[in-house]
Formats: sequence, C-alpha cells, structure tokens
Amino acid sequence: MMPGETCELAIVGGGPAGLSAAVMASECGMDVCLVDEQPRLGGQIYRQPPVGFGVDAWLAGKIYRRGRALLQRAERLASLRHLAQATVWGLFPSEPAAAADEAGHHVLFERDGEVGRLKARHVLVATGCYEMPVPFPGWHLPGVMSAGGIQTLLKSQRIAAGRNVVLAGSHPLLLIAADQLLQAGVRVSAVVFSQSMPVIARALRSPAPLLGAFGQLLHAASCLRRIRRARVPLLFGHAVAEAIGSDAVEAVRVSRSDFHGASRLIACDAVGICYGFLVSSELARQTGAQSTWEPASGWVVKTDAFLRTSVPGLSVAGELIGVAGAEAAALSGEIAALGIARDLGRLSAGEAAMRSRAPRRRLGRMRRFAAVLNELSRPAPQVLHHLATPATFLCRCEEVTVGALGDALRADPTVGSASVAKLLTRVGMGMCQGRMCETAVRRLIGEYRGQALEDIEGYAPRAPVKPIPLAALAAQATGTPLDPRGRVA
Amino acid sequence: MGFRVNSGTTRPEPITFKFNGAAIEAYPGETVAAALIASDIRAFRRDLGGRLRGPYCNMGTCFDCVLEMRAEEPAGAESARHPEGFWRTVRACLTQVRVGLEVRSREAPGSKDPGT
Repeated sequence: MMPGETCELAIVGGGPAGLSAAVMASECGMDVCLVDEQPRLGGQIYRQPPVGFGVDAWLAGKIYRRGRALLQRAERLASLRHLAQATVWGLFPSEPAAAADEAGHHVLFERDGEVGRLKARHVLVATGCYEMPVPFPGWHLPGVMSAGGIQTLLKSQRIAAGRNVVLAGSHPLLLIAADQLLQAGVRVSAVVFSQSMPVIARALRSPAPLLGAFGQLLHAASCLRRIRRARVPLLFGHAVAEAIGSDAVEAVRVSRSDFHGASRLIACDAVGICYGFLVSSELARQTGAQSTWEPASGWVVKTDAFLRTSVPGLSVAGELIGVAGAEAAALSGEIAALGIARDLGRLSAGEAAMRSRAPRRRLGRMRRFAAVLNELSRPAPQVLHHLATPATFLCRCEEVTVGALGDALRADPTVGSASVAKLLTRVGMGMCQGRMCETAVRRLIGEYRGQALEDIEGYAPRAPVKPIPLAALAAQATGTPLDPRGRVA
Repeated sequence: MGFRVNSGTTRPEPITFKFNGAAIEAYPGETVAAALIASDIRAFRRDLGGRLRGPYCNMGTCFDCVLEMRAEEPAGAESARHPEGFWRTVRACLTQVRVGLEVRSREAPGSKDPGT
C-alpha cells in the first residue's frame, strides 16, 4: 500500500479484537485496512510461526479452537487490506473544515524506516495489552524477560529463551507458559506465585462468574496437573526478589512474599515475569480520548455501548476497555464493528442493536469472569513496594533508580505527577516513551505523598507514541526520499 | 542458553546475517532477537552505565532490544531507494533476518559494544 491511501475503516492491531472487527466490518461491506506491527495476523495470543515454518502443535487444544477459526476467516477475507510490519505512531483528525463525508482521521505509521499515511473515515484501536512492568533488583539483566516474551519466542519462533527457566509473578499465564515450555522439552526450574494458596482459594469461592469461562479454568487446571507431574517446584506466597548475574541472569533469589525469613537461590538462565497486564491505550489516548485508571488494567478507554470513544470517529475494542482475554476481545471487536457500520450507514440503528445483542451478552459473562481472575491475579501492593529497592532501575531506558526518584520526591514536596518527575529525573524520557515505568513511577509518588495510585497523573500521551526517525518524518513531509546516509536529500 | 526447539518444527533453509561483524546462522522468518537468543547471544547492547542489556518483552513495547541495522536492497527492487543502505535504529524483536542484513549494537556514550 502506498502512503496517502484511503479506506473507510482503519483497524490498528491484528489480535482477536482487530480480527473479529475486520471480519464483521467486511461482512457489512466496509472497505477495511488493518495495520499491525507483526508480519502476520494474530496479535500476541495467536502469534503465528513465520511463513515457511511448519509447527505441528501450534495453538493445539480446545481452548484455541475459536481463535484459530477467527484467524482463518480473517486471512480468507479477499477485501481486507493488511498493512503488516507497520507501527502506527499517531492519529490526527482531518481538517475541521472538511465536509461531513470527508471527516475522519489520518493514520500515521512507520514502516521499514519510512513514514506513511492512511486516511480513514473511522479508526478502531485494538492495540491490546502488555505485561505490567514490575521493577525488582536485576530485572534489567539479559535473560530476564516478560513471561509473554518467553512464550511468544517459543510459540511463534520455536526458540527456547533458556535451558533453565524460572517463571514468577502473580498471573495464571505463568502456568500456561510453564506448560508450553515443558511440552517443548525446556526445563522449568520453578514457578513462583506471590499469592498464598488461601488467597487463591478465597477468590475461587465465588463460582457463578467462573462458570462463564469454564473452558479457561479447565485449561489452567490441566496445565497445573502437567506441571505437577513434571515435578516442577510450584511456590505460592513467594516472589523472585532479585535476579543475579554478571553478564546475564545466572540465578534468582526467591523469598517469601512477605519478605520475612530466609531466601534461597535457584539457578536459571532465563526468567519470565508476569504480574498481570496493562492496556496499550496510548495511541487512543493521544487523540484526547477520555480514559480512566483501573487497577487491574491500567488506562482503560471510556466508551459507549458501541465502544465509541469520546473522540468522534474513533472506537476501541479488546483489552482497551479492560483486560479480559482473547474471547472477550473478539466479542468486543464485533460490537465495535457493528457500531461503526451503523455510523457509516451500512446498518440501520435497529439492525446494529439487534445484531450486537448476543455478543454483548456473552461479553458481559466473560467480563464478569475476568473481574474475578484479575482480582485473583493482582499482586499485593506490599509485594511491589518491597521488590522496588532503592538500587532497582525504575526507568529501564534512562537508567533511573527507585532511589533517585525518591531523592527528588524528598527534595521537592510539590512533585506530584509522573510528568513533573520526568522533568526532574528523566524517568519516562527514553525510547519506550514511559510504557515500562509509568505505573511504578506513579505508585512511588503515591507512596511518598500518601495518595492512591489512581490519583497520580501519568505521562501525557502524545504522538509519536513510538519513536520514529526524524529524517523519515521530514522525508514524508517534504516528499523527498532519503539519501544513502539516511538524511533528507 | 537459548536454543531452537526442533521437535514438531520444520524450517526453511538457513541463511546468515551479521551481528557486530560476526556471521550468525538463522532461518528466514526468524526475528533478529530470536536468532540472536538461539545463538546464545542474550546481550544486544551496553546501556548508558555500561551494563549489558537484552530483550524484555519480545513484542515491540519495551525498546530494550534496539539495535542498528543496515541491509542491502535486492538489485532492481522497486523499493531500492537506498542502494548503499544506511544504519538505522530498529527493534530486534520486530526485524526479520534476511540475506545481506547487518546489525550492530547501538553505541551509548562511554560504552563499548558487547561483542558476540
């Protein structure tokens, strides 16, 4: 696709929400372009092996049946334009003076070092989520990764991150990742949960919402059974308090998660961490779309019943309305697409309402299950507090420690937001644009000021939401190609 | 030590690319991050403080895996706008290996490249 093309609906994100929206919107006769950073459709949960690879057991199992079918349907859509390996870095409303049928957004993306532009009447942001970064000593060492990172390496690239893997955190994803590693013949040295068994048992005592996602529970239970059968040490009420190594991780120090008593070392060459997820909503929020902080999801975008945001012509779907997993994401993609079809005159109001009734009911069920799961999976604030020792890197990009921000907060009692902390200490100023540190920075400010995390302002989301070369931007703006040294000729 | 899982997996014919001047074997379709991990290279760069650093999220969010790349464009390709290629910063986890690809560690002030 050439820059400057137009479409009716631009979908950002090729995971379950984006895929189901693409299928529904195409069925309603819309001209859809789906933009995604990966080479193939699927997002992270259904991340496919590269073309040319054969993987026998890719997403085997009942739990993935619906996802595989969705992926197949989306890939067979003849009318769907898929702009792969492109990073959307900004959404800009078209000129306010434009006629009503000219309204829409410019979707700015970077692809292979060049900036491109797409104009869409309506944009659906379905950018999913990422693991909540939890600073602890040594988490910057090579070999320490997010559990999902280790999982996607294995799932799509068929590469084991190490020979001896420790998984730690508070989210059941650890069980699924451990099971997949074991099945691939990778040794899992320990799976460490910060919650104690009684906490988990208490949460599971409210069975009504759980029945809504019986398949998922069954899947987690069978993972757990296989992990036990493989005699992998499964520690509850414990946490990886430190990753130790010189050039890369060589061991982890495991403590009780109340940080009392002795700790022990477990040798490993890879560590996967998952304490739950944060929605990746910065692209939607960069447009000014209203959001609200939810402890188990992060900056969730506010929507109406058809998942339209506060910005005209902009909808969201999937995790952006609250982390609830792949099945819920797919349902919300359908609902969002029906709303857009209605707005663009492809469906009558009555038809859109009628067709969204069933997915809405199922989504409600999935979200009730997710609420229980999220509550169960959340790390206790004391655990996060203890893990972030003064020498721990808070901002991985700019290498700012917890202690350095603490010093700044003590020195100036007026510092009360992440943005001001950024000006003083450089936290959040690096290439990740604050995605990796914002929550921990706000948590620390809250601790110092005696305020709740939700009351501490985050960094202002701005375009470009992911860094792009200035020369690429200049080349696009002036229509001049880059010279061989990467400069505007 | 990272490794390729071979059971139940078929891959295309291998190619090589360069990391800090050294030839690395990889399979077309693999990402640079995956191919380096499979070759037991977990440190991709040194940070401002001189510490070795590697990938964290493997999905384009953390930017810990950034490297510089340069690629020869295939002769006569329509997109051959940069015939000699130039170094630019990319995320190793989103960059696919290909013939003619060179990647190198980014230079942070006062740091040395991590070698291979």
